[in-house]
Amino acid sequence: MQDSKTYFDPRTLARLKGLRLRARQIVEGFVAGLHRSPQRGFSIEFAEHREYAPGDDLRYVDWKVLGRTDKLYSKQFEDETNLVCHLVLDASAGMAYQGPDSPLSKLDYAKCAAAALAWLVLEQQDAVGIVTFDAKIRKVLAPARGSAHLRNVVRLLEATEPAGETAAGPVFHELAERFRTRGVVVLLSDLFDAPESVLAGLKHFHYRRHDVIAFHLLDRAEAEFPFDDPTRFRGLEQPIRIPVDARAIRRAYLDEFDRYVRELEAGCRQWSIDYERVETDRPLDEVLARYLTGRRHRLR
Amino acid sequence: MEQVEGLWGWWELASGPMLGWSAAALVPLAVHLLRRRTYRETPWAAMRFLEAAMRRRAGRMRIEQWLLLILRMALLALLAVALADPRSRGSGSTDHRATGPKTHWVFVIDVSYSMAYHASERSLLEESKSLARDRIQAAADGDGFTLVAMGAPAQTRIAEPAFDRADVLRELERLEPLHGGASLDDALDAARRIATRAKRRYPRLTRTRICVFSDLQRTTWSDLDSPGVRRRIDAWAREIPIELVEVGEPAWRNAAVTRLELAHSLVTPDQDARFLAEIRRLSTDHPRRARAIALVDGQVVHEADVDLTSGTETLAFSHRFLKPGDYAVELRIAGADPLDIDNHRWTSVRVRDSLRVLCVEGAPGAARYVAIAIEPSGVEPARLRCETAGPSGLVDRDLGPYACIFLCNVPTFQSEEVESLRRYADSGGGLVFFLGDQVQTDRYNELLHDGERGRALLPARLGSVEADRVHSLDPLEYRHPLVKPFRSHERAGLLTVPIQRHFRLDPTGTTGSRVALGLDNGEPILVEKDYGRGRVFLFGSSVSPAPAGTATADLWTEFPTWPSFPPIVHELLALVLRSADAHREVQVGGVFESESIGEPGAPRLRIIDPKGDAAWLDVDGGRSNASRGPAWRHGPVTWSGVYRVAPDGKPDAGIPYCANVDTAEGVLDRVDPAAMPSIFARESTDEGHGEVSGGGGGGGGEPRSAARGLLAAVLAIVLVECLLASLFGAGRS
Repeated sequence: MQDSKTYFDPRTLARLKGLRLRARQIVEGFVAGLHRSPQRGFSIEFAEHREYAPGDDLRYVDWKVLGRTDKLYSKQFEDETNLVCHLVLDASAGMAYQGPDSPLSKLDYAKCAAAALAWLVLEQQDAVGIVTFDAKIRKVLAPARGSAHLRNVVRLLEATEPAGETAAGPVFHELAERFRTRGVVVLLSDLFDAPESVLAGLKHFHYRRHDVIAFHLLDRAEAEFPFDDPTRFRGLEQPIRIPVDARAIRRAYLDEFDRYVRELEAGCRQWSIDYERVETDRPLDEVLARYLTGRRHRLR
Repeated sequence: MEQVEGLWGWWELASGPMLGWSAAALVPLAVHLLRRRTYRETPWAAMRFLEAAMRRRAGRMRIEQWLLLILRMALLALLAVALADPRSRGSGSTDHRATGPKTHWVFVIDVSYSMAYHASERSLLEESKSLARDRIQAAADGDGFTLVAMGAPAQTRIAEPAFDRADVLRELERLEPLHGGASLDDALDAARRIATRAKRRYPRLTRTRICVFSDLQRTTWSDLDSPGVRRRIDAWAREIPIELVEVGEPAWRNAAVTRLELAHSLVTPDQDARFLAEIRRLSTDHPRRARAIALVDGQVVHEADVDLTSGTETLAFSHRFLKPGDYAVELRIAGADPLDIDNHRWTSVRVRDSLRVLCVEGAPGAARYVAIAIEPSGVEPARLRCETAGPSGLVDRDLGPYACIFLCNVPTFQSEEVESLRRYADSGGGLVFFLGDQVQTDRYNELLHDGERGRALLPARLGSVEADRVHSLDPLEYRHPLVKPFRSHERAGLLTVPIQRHFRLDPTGTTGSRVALGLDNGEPILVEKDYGRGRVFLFGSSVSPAPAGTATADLWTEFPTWPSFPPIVHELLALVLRSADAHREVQVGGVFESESIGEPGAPRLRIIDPKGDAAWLDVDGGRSNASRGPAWRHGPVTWSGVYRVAPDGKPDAGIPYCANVDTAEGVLDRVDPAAMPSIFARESTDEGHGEVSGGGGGGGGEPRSAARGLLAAVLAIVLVECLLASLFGAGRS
C-alpha cells in the first residue's frame, strides 16, 4: 500500500499550488479565484451543520446549538460553497495492474491523484468528498471542507485495496442519484466496463448537472500491448487465463482498444464531459497541471 | 536405387525408394500437433479487449497456421517425389526410348598406358571415351550405367547403375591413362560381378550389355591365351553379351627408354658418375631417330641425337655431382613417337663422401688382405673407409652406418649377434662370409643356416673341409654379375687362383641361392643370396694370411694375394650397394619400402608423387630395429616419375624414389581381331558406332522427367511460404 506521505509528492503539490479546480456550472462568475459566493445571504437555504473550524465566519455559528450542546457548529448553506468536489475512485482489482515500465499501479496512481486534488480543493476552501467503488459503491466520505478533512480523505485512500470486478456504469447511476449537491465529479478509473454502460452513467451525471471530469487511467502496456512472446494473460478481475500468441493478436487488440477509447471519448465530448486520458507512466504533477491549466483556458 | 514401375498409370519412378522421404511431410504436422508452447504468464486487467481480439482473430489465425502447415507439408512431399524422379511413360506415343526394355550398360575401358597413344589428335583413350559418350547419349530413357577402368588391377568407378547421364559422363571424363598395364581377366571379372549384382538389385534393368573399349594391345589381351581365363570368360559371355569396341589402328610407331642405370655403384663428389641408358625402338620401322636428353633434378645436363636404325641404342653419359646428396636422374627422348609415357626413365642416385665397411676378424689379422683390398694405402682421398674389429666386434655395435660387413674366419656367433646380422641384412646391408680354420661348422650351420626355417642367412650349408688337391676357379661362363667384369679378361688372374683347402658348400637346400664362382671340380666356392633387402655372400675358403712357415700343402688359398682379389672384393661391394639402393626404383604397380628417412624414428613421412599430390604416412614402428630404424611402405604406385619422400615438416625436397613403366606395354602389337573368341561381338570404330545392336539406342524424343517441374514447384512453394509467413508476421507486428 502506498504510504500516505507519497500521496503528497512535494513536486506535485508545488505544481498544483496556484492552480484552482474551477466549477463550470454551479456558480456562475466564479472565475476570479474567489471561493465565497458573491450571492452569499441571498436565497440561501440551510443545508446542514458542521463542526466549527478555526477561520469559519463567526456570523454563521449556530448559537442555539451551542446553547444546547456546548459545542460550536457552523451553519452550512447550500450555495455557501462554490465548489463541491466528488472524487470517485475505482478500486476494482483491475486497477492493481502495473505494467513493466510503469512506476505505479493504476490504483496507486489514482490515489495520488485523488489526494492531490483533495488537497487542492481543500486548499481553495472548497469541499471535497470521496467515493470508492468496484462493482458497487464501497466507501463514501461526504464532502466537507477544512484541512482536517484532508486527513479523512487520506485515511480512506490508505484503507482502499484493489478488489472485485468493475461495474462503473451502474455505480455511476447510483452516484448520480446520491450526489444531491451539484458539484464537480472527478472520476479516477480505467473505465474497463462496457462503453455504453459507462457513458450512460456519465450521462446521468450530466443530467444531474454535475460537472464531470473523467480521468481515464491507463497503463502504457494496456495502450500499446508491447508483448511479443507467447503469453498467458491472467485476468485480475475474473479468474480466467487466455494463452495467446501476443505478436499475432496485437493488431486486433489495439484495434479493439482504440475503438473503445474513441467511443468513450466521443460520448464524453457529446455530453460535455472532460475526458482526460492518462497513462500512468506520466508524471502526475504534469498531468494535473496541464489539465487544470487547460480547463482554466476553456472556462475563460 | 531400384526403379518402381506402374505406380501410377502414366508414371514410373526412377528412384522409387526416395519416395520414402515423403514421410518427412508428416514432420511439420507432428510438430504442430505435439509442440507444447511455453507461455509466459502475466496478470492483465484489460481482458475485455483481449477476449474481443481473440474472438476476431482466432479464426483467421487458425486458417493462416493451417495454410502454412499445408504449404510446408506439400513442400517436403513434392521434394521427395522429385527425388524419386518420376518419369512419364509416354502419353500414347511410340517413343521406344521411353517405353522399351531397360538396359544396364557396363562400360569397361582400357586405361593401360598404351591407350595414351595419339593415333590422331585424340588419344585412344579419348576416342574410347567419345564412343562411350555416344552410347550413353543414345541409350534408352531409364537405362543404367556402370563403369570399370581396365588397369592392373581393374578399378570400378561406378559400381551401382547410375541413371543420371550427367553423372556418368562426368565420371567418364575423369578417366585418364594409367602408367601401367591392364588386366583383362580382372576387368571382366569386375564387370561380371557388377552385372550380377545389378540384376539382383535392379530387376527393372532387364538387359545387360558389357562394352569393352580397348586397343587390343597384345600384352593385355594375352590373358585370353590362358585356358583358365578363356574358359571363364566363355562362361560369362553365355550369360551376358560382351561387345568389343576396338580403337586405334594396326600401324603404330613407338620408342622407349628401356634402361637407365649407373655404371658403378659408389658415386662421390670427386669423380664423374657414369650412366648407361638404353633406347629401343619398339615398333618395326619408325622412329629412326630421337633426341635424348638427360636431366638431373630437372636440369638438363646432357643432350644427344640417337640413331635408332638398328633398333636399340646404348647411350653413355657422365655427370659430376658437386656435393653429397640424393638426386633424381632422368633420361627422356623427345620428338620420337606419339606415346610419351615410356619416353622417360628415372633413376635415383645417392652421392656419398665415403663408404664405411666393417671387417670382423676371427683371429688377429684375419681380415688384413680384405682391408688392404678395400682401402689400399696411399689412395687419397679414401672413398672407402675400412674398420676392423675383433670376434666380439658385433656386440653392441650400431651396424646401420656400414655399407658392408666382411666376416673373416670368425669361429662362431652369439645368438644376439646373429639376430643383429639378420636385421642388418634385412634392411639392406651386405654380409660377406670368408671361412677359415677357426670356423665351427656345426655352429655356423645351426645358427646361420638351419636355425630359422626358410630364412637361412647363409646361402649354403657348410660341409666338410676338403684338401684333396689344388683346385682352380671356374667363372661359370661369367654369368654372375660378380665375375662379369672378368669376361674377356682371362689373364686378369681369376682362372689361376689356387684353392688348396675349402669347405664343401651345399646350396641345394637353400632358397634363392645363386652360385657366382665354382671350382674346377664343379663344386660351388662363392655362393650368394638375397636376404630381405640385403645380400649375403659366402666364400668357401679362407682369405686370412697363413701363419709364417705354413707349408704350401696346408694353405687354404693364395687368392687374397692374387691380383684378381681386390677387383672381386670391390665387385662384392658394388653388388651390395646396388642391393641397398635397389628399393629406390620400382616398376609402376610396385611398392616403395625403406627404413626411415632422415632422423631414425621420424613418425610421419610426406610423399609427393609425380603429379605433385602429397600423401602422408606413418612410419611403421613395428618394423623398427636397432640398426636401421622403422620401415614404411607406399604403393602400389600408379604413376611413373619421381616420388619425393621426406620427413613430415621438413622443408627439403626429400629423397627421390623412382617409378618406371614396364615398356612391354609400349609394344603396341595387337591381337588379331579375327582370332578373337566368338564371345566378343566386335565393333570397330571404322564401322561406325551409331546403332548398337539390341542396345535400345535409336530415335525418340527426350525423356520426360517430371523432376525438374516438381523442383520448380518446390521452389515456388518455398517462395510463397516465405511471402505468406512474412505477410502474416507483418500483420501481427
